Amino acid sequence: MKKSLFVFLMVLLLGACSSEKEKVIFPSDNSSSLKPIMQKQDTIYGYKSVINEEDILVAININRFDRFNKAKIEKKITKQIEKQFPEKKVLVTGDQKLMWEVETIIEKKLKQKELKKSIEKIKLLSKEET
Amino acid sequence: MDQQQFQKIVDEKNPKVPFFMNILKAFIVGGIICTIGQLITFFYMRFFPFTEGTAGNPTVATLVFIAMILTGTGLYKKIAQIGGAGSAVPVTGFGNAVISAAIEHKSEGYVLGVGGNMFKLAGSVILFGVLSAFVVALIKTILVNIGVVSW
Repeated sequence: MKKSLFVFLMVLLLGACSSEKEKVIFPSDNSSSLKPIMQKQDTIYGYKSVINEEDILVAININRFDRFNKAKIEKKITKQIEKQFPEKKVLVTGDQKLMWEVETIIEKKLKQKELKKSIEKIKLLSKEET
Repeated sequence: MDQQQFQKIVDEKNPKVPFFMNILKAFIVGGIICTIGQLITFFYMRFFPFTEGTAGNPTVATLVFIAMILTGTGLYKKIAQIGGAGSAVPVTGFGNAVISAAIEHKSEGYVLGVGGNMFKLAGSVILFGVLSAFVVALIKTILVNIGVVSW
């Protein structure tokens, strides 16, 4: 009993320490100018981004204690990206739900039409207040 | 024997309150309740269209509901015996306060007993919450209309 508890605690403690760092931009071919902006952010440890003709969606993993400044960090990165891509609509979010939605887009490798639909859905979700 | 002497004897004879153990137990029980709450939040985010910002509302409702059922079956009493404040401070304590008051006054009838006394303890919480939310929203509306801040 005690041994199993010990093993369980070890797994729990060690599991908590390994945070996977994932930096993905989808589709990867036009990632050239977005990457350097995301690379120099020191308040995040990972990001997943989706780009199409009109929109840029970036879901970011904010460092644990920087989460208190979540809104500020989102705003700051949004401004930097908007400067680089003035013709596109930018949405930067630290929300876990939107992160998962972006992940499903990347996993399914959605094409033009479906991609647009999913992006619209995510944008609607981000505005949800109720 | 004057009062001070008597008080001294009482202090000597009384068993010491295990402050540290109480705090530790409250921390663990409260932490477990909050972990369950976080899991429910993730459940709502995963399977329903709730975001991090909006998943809090159904989570609170679910936790209060679970606490009400546990109170009705008498299990929450046992948790509260171990956890103390750890089980009363999270939102589950609210559900417990409503249902335990209802059970206590059941013998006085359903309308005057249960209905009249159900919110004796928790009613002030609801009233205070609604009123303060109203006042804050009023201030914010005025500020937005003047143009000081935006939504």
